[in-house]
Amino acid sequence: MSTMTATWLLPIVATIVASASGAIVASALPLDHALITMIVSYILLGCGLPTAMVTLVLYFQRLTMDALPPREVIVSVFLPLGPLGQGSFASMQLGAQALRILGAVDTIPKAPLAGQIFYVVGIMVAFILWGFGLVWLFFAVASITRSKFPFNLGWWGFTFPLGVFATAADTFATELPSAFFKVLGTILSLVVVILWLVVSYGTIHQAFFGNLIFSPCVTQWEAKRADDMDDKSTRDNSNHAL
Amino acid sequence: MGLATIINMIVFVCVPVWGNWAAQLAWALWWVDIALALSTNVYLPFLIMYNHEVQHPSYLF
Repeated sequence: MSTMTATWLLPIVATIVASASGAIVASALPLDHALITMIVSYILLGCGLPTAMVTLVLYFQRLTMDALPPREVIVSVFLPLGPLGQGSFASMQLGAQALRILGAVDTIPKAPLAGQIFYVVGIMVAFILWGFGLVWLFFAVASITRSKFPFNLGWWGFTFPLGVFATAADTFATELPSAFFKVLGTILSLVVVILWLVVSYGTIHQAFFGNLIFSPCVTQWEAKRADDMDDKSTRDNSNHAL
Repeated sequence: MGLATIINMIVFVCVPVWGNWAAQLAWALWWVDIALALSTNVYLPFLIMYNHEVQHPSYLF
């Protein structure tokens, strides 16, 4: 269980990102194509979001029963914000598209208000997902304050989860007349830009002056291989002796 | 996920300037993206279920 990290979320979050992207693409398409895109995007959200939720359960179990991840990969504690923030964003964007499309196309004949219901439920679900993201943001910030951790390429894991979390806050601000979310969205976006600059600087700096391409698992593997080679050469030598 | 970002920017930047064909391009790329996203979504978790012996290589694992 100790080898399980939040990176298990990454293949799953791709579907949620595709779903959110579908809502954006639908906004540029004529109604009939947009309708197909919207429905496929809702199904994609269904493929991604519950799978991410069960993976989060595993991750919660790992964190509570085992330990925090080692400090080389500690930044991965931010990854749960990815599916939650992007799911929140997708839910609102798809709702907004449903309002546009279902208002004009009679896809659900028995429910004339279908578009409005999709839109409102989308915002409600978005609030709930964003709230769950807030919990994981707390765990993540609390985790990284427990130790000093070295710069490595894993730091790029800061940008995507916080980025989508900020995008969700920005979308609340555009969908609702809310000064609170306008301010919070601006602050979060600025934090993401600053983090991006810091990580870019670190990457370029290490590319010139340090060992940038470093992977904890490769180091373990190399150590193991060196051991194996030693064993093998000892064995070979003993064969020669015979 | 990178492809999705490119698709989003095609919609935000290229569609207002170049119009319909950019929207069709974004739509086509989106279908490619969902095929890739769905295949990783189902295949990698299954690989983790199926193959317990291998340490899954990745930067962050």
